[in-house]
Parts: sequence; structure tokens; C-alpha cells
Amino acid sequence: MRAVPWAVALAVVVVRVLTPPGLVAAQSQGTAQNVRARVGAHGGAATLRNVRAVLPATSAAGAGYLALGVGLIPIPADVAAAAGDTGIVISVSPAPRGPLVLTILPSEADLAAARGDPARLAIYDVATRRAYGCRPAGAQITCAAPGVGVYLLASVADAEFLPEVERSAPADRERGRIPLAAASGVAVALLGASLWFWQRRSVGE
Amino acid sequence: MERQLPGAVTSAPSRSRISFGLAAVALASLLALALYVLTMPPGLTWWYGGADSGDLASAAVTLGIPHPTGYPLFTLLGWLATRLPFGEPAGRLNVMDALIAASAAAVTGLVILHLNRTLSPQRITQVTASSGGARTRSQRAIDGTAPYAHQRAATLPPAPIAADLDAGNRDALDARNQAAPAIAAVSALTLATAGLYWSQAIITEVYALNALLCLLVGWLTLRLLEPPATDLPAEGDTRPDSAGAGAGGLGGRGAAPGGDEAFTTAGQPDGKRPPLRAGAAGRFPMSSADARPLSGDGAALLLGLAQGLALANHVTSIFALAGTLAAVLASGRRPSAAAWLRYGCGIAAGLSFYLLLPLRAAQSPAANWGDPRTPGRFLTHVTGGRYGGLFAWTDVGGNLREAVALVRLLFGDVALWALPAAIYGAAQGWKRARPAVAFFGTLMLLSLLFAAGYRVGDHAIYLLPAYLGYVVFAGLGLLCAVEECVRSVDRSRLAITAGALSVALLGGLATNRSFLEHDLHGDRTPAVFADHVLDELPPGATLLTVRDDSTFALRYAQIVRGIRPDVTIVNPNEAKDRVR
Repeated sequence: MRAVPWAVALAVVVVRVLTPPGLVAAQSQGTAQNVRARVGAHGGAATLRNVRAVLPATSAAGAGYLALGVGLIPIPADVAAAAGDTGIVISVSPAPRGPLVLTILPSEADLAAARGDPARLAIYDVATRRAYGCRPAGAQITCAAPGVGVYLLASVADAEFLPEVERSAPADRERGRIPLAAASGVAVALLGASLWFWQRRSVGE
Repeated sequence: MERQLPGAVTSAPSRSRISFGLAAVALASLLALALYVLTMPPGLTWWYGGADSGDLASAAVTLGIPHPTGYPLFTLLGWLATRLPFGEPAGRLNVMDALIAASAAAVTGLVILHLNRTLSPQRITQVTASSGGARTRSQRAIDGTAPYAHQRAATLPPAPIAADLDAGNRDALDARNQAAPAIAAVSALTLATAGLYWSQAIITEVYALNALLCLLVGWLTLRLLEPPATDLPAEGDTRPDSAGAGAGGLGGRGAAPGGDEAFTTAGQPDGKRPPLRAGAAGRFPMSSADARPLSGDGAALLLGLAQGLALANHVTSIFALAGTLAAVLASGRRPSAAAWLRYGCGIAAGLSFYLLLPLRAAQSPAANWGDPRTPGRFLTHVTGGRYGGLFAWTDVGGNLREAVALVRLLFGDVALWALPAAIYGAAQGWKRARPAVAFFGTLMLLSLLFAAGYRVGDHAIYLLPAYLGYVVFAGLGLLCAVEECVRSVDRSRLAITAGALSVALLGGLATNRSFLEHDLHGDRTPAVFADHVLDELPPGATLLTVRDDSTFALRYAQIVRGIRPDVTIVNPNEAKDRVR
């Protein structure tokens, strides 16, 4: 019994000092951190080489398209610096022949369109350090890409944007589910408590 | 009805209580399953490391080859699950994972019930020791303060001490037995409602199955090393040694019950342990309703098979193998060569599932990652060679920071009551259930180290086996706390009831939070994304993808739902080792 108060006291200290607010918050923070971590950790040359190596063999049947989903791919540090602290840089290299079509999540495009600020989307040419405008249309953003080795600066996707997109999927903001969640908590609590009292009555000696 | 054994230090779970324990664990498991079904997505999801779900689902539907390391057991089970006549294939796989996760929670409860049956006593001579006189080594062995007391020879305490043992501990052991079913069920629910565990229980991924198999390995290891006793002393036999004999798994008089002759005790050339006395043996005679101990032959083979199946699902289950070895070392038992051979045969049988990969690859299924039909490609695939460079072996500082972050995640992710209980349980278990602590401690440590060093975005998932050990330690802590409370606290019933209510309340709060955080019942993002992207592409287009989540969602739409098969999907990052 002497160890119990010791354990409880230690636990309280540990919880107070160490415990994060919650898994979702931790994951959101982690996503934002990943953005910065990837920028610092990788550089983008490998990605560019891979794309170049694949394109000639696989794009013969038709135009090349790049589906980014909700994702990011590694980028060079100088481009990251150009994006600033809150910007997210998406590389789209190389530009295929003709217009480059960048396909992103509908919710992202919707958000970009709602903000009505297409100028915040731009192609960034590493060689010339020049930005080119893009035209969001539905779920796609078409850019007049100047050639191989370009990068898209999607500063509309600020550091809080991607986690927000990912978090929009769970129903934790649906008010209708809150009572169900509370009921589940009550069910678990009642089961634990009732098991204790019931077994004492039924099989206790 | 439990038989009373006057004069013997014993309090065994009665038949009704054991049945109640199994029913309580089953009830907890069903409740967990209901929670999972309420919150699972209808199909694929990108949440909670679900990027690979599309690949796994495509492979399961076509009985094909997913990304390394192949996951043949999951693929085969998934193929069976996708034959069920409801929902879309990925939804059926989500249900399968929920069933697996709920079953794993039930096994956690079984581990707790087993620990209750085999737990050695705590400070059994506390009253007598304080009554004067220096405590002998044997007394320290009996009271559990000597290192792993029940592994050492102990002498029978003098008759007056034995009487005190009976008076001082029967109530405590009764209380522990009484509380064990509820503790087992609460432990199962605590694991089931832990955030990371819940997240893997509702998506198409391999980690719930990994948890189930690791727990099975742990449970079988403990049953092999410390089988619960089955033989009651004769009616009226009040000799303490008769109470302890046979309860130690190795047998107080030679071979253990159940034919456990495959193991011998280290340091005993004749293969027989010294007679274990009541208390010293650390176990108490069970009623005939108690689960039968595994036989030596069957147990080693069964344990090996479970380990092999675990390895056929996920390579990190090798941590469970290390846990088994640690438990064997901690138990002081020395398996015979024949036992090792049977264990190895079991592992080989489980690993044989990997033959599915080249066999199916030769038939060119729609999902055929790496085409592992040649020995070279097969080895590259099953060893996950392309991922080896992602482990940061040399970044000690970074790994340490990650480890701290992961421990914080663990503490904050499980119901709050588990933290003090786990600390207490681990400390008590080191003295009273050392093989269990060795197994689950090893599992926790290796999982933590691996998750800390593996540089991928969803590396926290690899911490999941540590959750298993954490919850088992917490359950063990509750068992010991109840026993100690009855022994040391005046109004113990009130204290235990208050503790039970606190645990139930904290468990309920944790469930409420996890429910809200993991409610994906309306998430159809990958399907919407795939439909939208594929619909707008011109005929015969080549679509470059840059991340696993979008790549696998698009391929799932093509392979499983038959949408736009004319489009070629290429992920440059995987093109070099994928053959389509």
C-alpha cells in the first residue's frame, strides 16, 4: 500500500508535465511539423530525377498529370525559404508538354475558389526566380508552366490548411454525434461499475 | 462453490467466478465492437495512417500482393472477409479489423485473468514479520520481497506463521479474485478505447491483427511458463505443500500437470524443481473449473504457430518473439531441445503463409507489387529492403526526442487511471509475475525504440504493441492494489468501491473523447477524390501521383470498383520496384 500513494503522486506529476492535450491535436501539430521537417530534411533533387526518369516511358499514351491529393513532396531549401514561414511549397516537376494540370482535393479547390484569391497560387521557376499565375477551376488548377524544373507555391495552403482539410473528415464536429459519444462513455462507465457490483452480489462469498 | 481449505493459504477463483470473468471479458469485447462499428468509415479512409488501406484492400479483393512486406496473412483473411455480402469491400475489411481488435481486447482480459490465477502472493508474512525477530531468507521468499520468490526453494514456515498467513491473506486473495473479472473487463475496454488502438481498429490496416497475434503470443507464453493449477488437494488435506503442489506449472513433485515435461528448472539437473510450498509456489489451487494448463508438447507448438502467424502478418511481431525469450529467461526455466524444435516447427508453419506471395504472383493478379515470383524479388519484398534506409540508427538525439514524444502520446492516449496503475503493476509484477513483466516489458521497449527510430510520417503506429503492455501492467496494478488495500486499509471495501467508480468514470471519459476523435462514419474522402480525378481525365491518360494515399485510392477505384481502367497510374517513388 505504501507504493500506491507514491505511484499516484508520480503519475500526477508526469501527467501534468508530459501529457499532450490529445491525439488529434498532436497529429495536427505533427502534420504542420512534418511540413517543416520535410523541407529541411530532403531537398528535392531526387524527386525531380525520379519524375524525369519515369515520364518518357509512361506518358507516351497521353498527357501527363500530377495528382497531389492532400500531399506534399520534398522541395529544395531555397524554394522553401521563398515560401516563408507559413507557406507550403508543392513541386510539380517536370512540366509536361502543354498545360500542366494540377489535381487537388475538391475541398482544397473549393476553399481556394472561395477565398477568391487565385493570385496566391503561382508557379515558381527556380531557374529564373519568376512566378507565374495559375487558374483554379473546380478541382483542378491549370498553370502556364514554363518548362522543366518549376515549382508551385501554394501559399493559400498555409501551415494550418492541410491539417484542417484532413480533420474535416471525422465527424467530431457533427453535433448529432456528440450525444452518441457521450452515451458510449456512459455505457463503458456503467459496464465497469456494474460488473463490480453485480459480481459481488451474484458470486460473492 | 469454492472449497475452503482450512489451514492452507489459498483462495481460488470459483467456477462461477471464472465463468463470470469470461462473460465479463466477452461483454467488454462486444461493447468495443459496437463502438468500432459506430465509428468506422464505410470504405477507405486516409485518416490515422490509412494511406496504405487502398493497397491492402486491392490486394485482399484480388488475393494479390500488397506493398512490402507482403502481409500474406492479412491478405488471406481479407480475401475471405471481402466475400461477405454487405457493404463495399473496404468496408468489409474495416469490419474484419474491428472484429480482430475487439478480439485482441478480449485476449487482454484473458491475460489479466491468467495473471490473477498465477500471481504469487504479496508480503504474505507481513503480520508475522512485524511481530518480532529477523526475517529469514525463506520468509522473504514467501512474502515476495526476495527476487522472484517463487522461483526459489522455500521452506515451509512454522505452523504459527502459517496460521497467520491464512488469517492475513485469505480475505485479500478473495477480494482480488472477486475483483478480477471486473478488472479484466475494464482492462479490455481500456485498451479498446485507447486512441491509437481505436484508430487502427476501424480502418483497413494490419496493426490490429498484429496486436491480436502479439497478445496471443504473450498469453500462450505465460500459460506455458506458468500454467494455472488444476489439481486440488484432497478434501481435508490442509498441508500447505499440497496446496502449492502442481500449481507451479513445473509441478511440485516432478513433472507439471498437463505433461509439461518439456521444461526444466535451471539449476536442477534432474529436471525437477524443489517442492514448492504454499505461498512459496506463489500459486493457489484452482477449482476444477479453471482452464486446463497447456501440455508441453502442444503448448510449444501452438506458441510457435502463433508467433509464425504473427510474423506472417507483420515483421515487427518479432518483438513478441524477443518477449517470449525474455520471459523464458526470467522464469528460470530451461526448455528442452525438443521443446525448442516444436517451437521452431510452429514458427515455420506460420511463416509458410509467405508462400502465397510467389504462388499468386505467378498468376499475375491485378494487384501485384514487386512481382515476387523470383527468389531475389521475393526476398527483397518480404524483408522490406526498400524501407531499411528509413530507420535512423545513428541519430541518437533525435531518437530520444521521438521516444519522449511517443511516451507522452501513450500517457495521454489511454484512460488516466492506467498510468499510476501501470507503474504499480510493473513494480509488483517484477516481484510477483516476472515472466509477464519480462514479456510485455520487452514488447513495450522494443516497440518504443523502433517507433522512435523509424522515420516515416505515421511512425506512431508502431507504438501500438507498447499499448498492450501498458494496459496489461495497469490491470496487474489494479489486481495488486485490491489485494493490498484489503490487507492494509481499514475500510477497504469502501476504498475499493471508490476506486472502482473512479476507474469507471475515467474510462467513460476516455471513451467519450476517443469516440469523438475517431468518428469516421461519414468519411468518404478517398472515394470522392478518386471519382473526381479519374472522371476528368482524357482517355488513355497517364496520371502521375506523388503520395501513397492518392496512389492507392486511385488504384483501388480502378481495381476494385472498375473505374477508368484505361488510365495509367504511376507513382515515381515506387515505379522502380513495382511491376504492373
